[in-house]
Amino acid sequence: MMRKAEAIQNIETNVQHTLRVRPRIHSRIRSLLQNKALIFELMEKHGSPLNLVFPQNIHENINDFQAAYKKHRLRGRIYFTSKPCKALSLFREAEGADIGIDVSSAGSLKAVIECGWSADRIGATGPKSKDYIVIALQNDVLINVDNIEELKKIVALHKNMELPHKARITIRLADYNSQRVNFTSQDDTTFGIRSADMGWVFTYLKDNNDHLAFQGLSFHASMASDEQRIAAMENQLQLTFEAIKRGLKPTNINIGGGFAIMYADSCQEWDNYTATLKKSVLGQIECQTWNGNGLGYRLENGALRGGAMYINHAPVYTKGEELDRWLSFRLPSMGNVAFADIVRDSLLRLSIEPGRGMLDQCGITLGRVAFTKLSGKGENLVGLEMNRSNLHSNHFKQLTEPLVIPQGDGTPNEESKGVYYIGNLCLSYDMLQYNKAYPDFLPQADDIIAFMNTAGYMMDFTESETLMQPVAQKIALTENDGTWQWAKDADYRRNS
Amino acid sequence: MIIEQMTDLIGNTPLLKIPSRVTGLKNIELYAKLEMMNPFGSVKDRTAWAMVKDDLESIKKSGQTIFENSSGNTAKSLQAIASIHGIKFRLVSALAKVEEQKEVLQIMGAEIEEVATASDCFDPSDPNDPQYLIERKIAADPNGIYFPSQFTNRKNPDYHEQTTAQEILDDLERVDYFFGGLGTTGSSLGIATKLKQNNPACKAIGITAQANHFIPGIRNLTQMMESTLFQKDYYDEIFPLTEKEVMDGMMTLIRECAVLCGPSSGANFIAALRYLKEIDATLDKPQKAVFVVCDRMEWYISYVKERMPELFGQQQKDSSLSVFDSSKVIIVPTISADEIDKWKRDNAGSLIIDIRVPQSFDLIRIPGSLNMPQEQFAKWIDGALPFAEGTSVLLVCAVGEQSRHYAAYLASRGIKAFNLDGGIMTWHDLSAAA
Repeated sequence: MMRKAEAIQNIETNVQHTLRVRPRIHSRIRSLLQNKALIFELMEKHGSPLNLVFPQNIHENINDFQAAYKKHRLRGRIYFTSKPCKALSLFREAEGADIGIDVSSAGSLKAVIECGWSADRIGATGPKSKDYIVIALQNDVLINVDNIEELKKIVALHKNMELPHKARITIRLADYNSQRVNFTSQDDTTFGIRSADMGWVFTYLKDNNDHLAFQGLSFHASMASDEQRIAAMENQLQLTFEAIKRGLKPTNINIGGGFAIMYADSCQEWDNYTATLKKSVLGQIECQTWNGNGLGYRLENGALRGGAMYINHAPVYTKGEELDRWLSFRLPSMGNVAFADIVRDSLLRLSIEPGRGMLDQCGITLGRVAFTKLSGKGENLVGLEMNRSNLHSNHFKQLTEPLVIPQGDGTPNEESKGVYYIGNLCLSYDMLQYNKAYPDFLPQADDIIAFMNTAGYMMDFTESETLMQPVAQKIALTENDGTWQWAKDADYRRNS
Repeated sequence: MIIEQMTDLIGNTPLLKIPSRVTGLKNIELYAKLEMMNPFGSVKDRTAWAMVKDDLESIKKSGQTIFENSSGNTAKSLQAIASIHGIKFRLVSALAKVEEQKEVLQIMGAEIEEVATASDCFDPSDPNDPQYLIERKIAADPNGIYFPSQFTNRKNPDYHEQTTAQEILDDLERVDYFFGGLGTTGSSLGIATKLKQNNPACKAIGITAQANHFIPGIRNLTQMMESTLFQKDYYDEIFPLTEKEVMDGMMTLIRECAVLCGPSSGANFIAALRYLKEIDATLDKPQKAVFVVCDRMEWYISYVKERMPELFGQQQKDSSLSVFDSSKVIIVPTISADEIDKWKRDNAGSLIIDIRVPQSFDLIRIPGSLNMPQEQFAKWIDGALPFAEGTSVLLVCAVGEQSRHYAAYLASRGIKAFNLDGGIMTWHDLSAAA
């Protein structure tokens, strides 16, 4: 990405421009946002907050990942990770594609079975209760085993249940060792079984061959740098080969998810915006965050310290491109051969579990403006009929500005006033975003505020009925030749 | 010239006058301060020496380990100094970006800890930066660690003020323009301070990388905020450069002036040319400008390779294999998995060549087959042959797609080449069923 040289002075004199971080919006969603009558009608019928889901858009994401498989001539299964969003319409729509689905609880397992997924396409992962294991076993669902106790429990339950099939399992790895690189500050994880225990596990798998059909190892390294991911791939392959040499028959290798998406519409705007935030923390420009929150950064002896607590909104590689890049990684401990070549040539099937990446541009969240006011220090506050449980998985991860949909013609924000969006939790502050936004229109009561790209972890991951306020309704919308149809999420059926 | 130890060679570097046919400047003389001539190859020799020289005795006596956060050059200098004095050095860094820097350090015996850089799916209460991590280690072992902290240590700019800048003034008497890349900002800050004391009209120009451009040793402007030494007001102008511009500058220095320098030197040079060009046209009396040649070329070979692959003859030449389109070949001689034994009987002296990667070949293989991994195999058959002419060969890959391509190519050259239909997978399924 080559960019034209520009003097830094330009950035500073044109401050207003750099304070904006506008969201990327799918053309289909953009066209809906122009249909104000429909948006206000839906809000009137279903109340605020309201989640809009776009099941059609999931296919673009599926195709994107499939292209990387094709390029590297890999077989295997893309598991749509159902965890980041509870919308049944997405489960139903994705069921029509040639993919699998990954569930994380007994409830989500039952839900996807009801949505028509056959057991051979479902993977059960995450921490598991006894009930969850029993349902998975009854339905002959692939279980991604998280710990040794769980493994023993599966064998014990399987013995009692007298099932006609073995328990199909993969083993999730917790860590990776590297002889080449010494990592400092490697994050600990609550998931998986330590590599050091795998010798015992392999013996156990062989001893319990009557009950267990071991299919392979899984590892999820979404937080990893490239160097770490490469070390993890090497570790996972070496253990897989060890299993084969010990007479087990792993056929799969699961590298999990962690595929980034574009939240910001422009890389340039995002770069400028993060620079602006840092200047704000350093006190070089007017404060851009609520109560000076550094969003992970802090000022210490004149220098900026800490790290961003927000997600990268404009990654260089996203979704299928990122998968392609990972598959092309050469593994120094394995003769510098590309990861994909080893997987394919060893007749292994590759599984991935994209969550956020699968839900890119599949949902938005609407909130109605209840009131506007000035804060004690004179900041413009926009009070919404929603709260942070309706929008956040982790606080202030998403910084893109929401769109203001005025009820009437709207008041253009000619003086570029900044506003903060606050919720209805009756706390001294319930910030929907901690960063100031500079909307095109100044919000007024009864206007609608639309937060973009919220299907992945944002719209319902943490929703609660706190203060006895109902959670958001979900509406599934489909568009054909410019005509919109909508249904309640639970009533949505895929067009076959 | 006899010296006691390598550190005696730190400093007193020469100034190279860049010829006007290269600079295109009529009134301004441009000089390169050859910091690459320091014994361990970079301007950082001074920084490292300045920070630790007074404490070496006490570090050794107390058995402390030196910890530092560096992308390479400071680490090399510190490791060299530590080696001489029998002190342990440990680098904490996100180094992965410059391979050779890491490899040189490994040869020198440095202990390296890679910082796992946080990205998108992390625990928000866990901000990691090398500076913080080192401080955390110090908190755990306050007496065992010596942390020079080049990004915050005043000795860094002060030593450049006292030595590097003084040397420049000794040689030139007066400097009108100074160009330095901004990393820790220690060297440019120190040098600019002194040059401005000497000539208040002297302009200092700081060079940074544009956002998302990676220039080793130079930070982009948002990263600058993480150095306490950085004083923006000290620079009359800040010049953000792209990787492409930097490579152009570096190549000019290498090819026209025989200065075998790294990318950051190229950055300083190209910024000087750009900045001075317009000023030069308006001048009627001579002026002097200086830029820093920070380090040497050899540590950046992979960096250059990535950005200028054409230099290394990696462009696609039109060999017969690279332009061969097997998708147009309808019939490729093919053997199915159950015909292998018969094929061997019919083709005396034949070879079964498996082009999969060695790890996979090691796991599953057809008895009696040879492994010639695709990457090498493609090179070997592009011209000559790795087997005797007239030999029948059966090519094997995972699923029979890549092997089909090579079988079609070899067959087009009149070689008795066959493809194993369905690859090792079909063969494996068949032998599993048997």
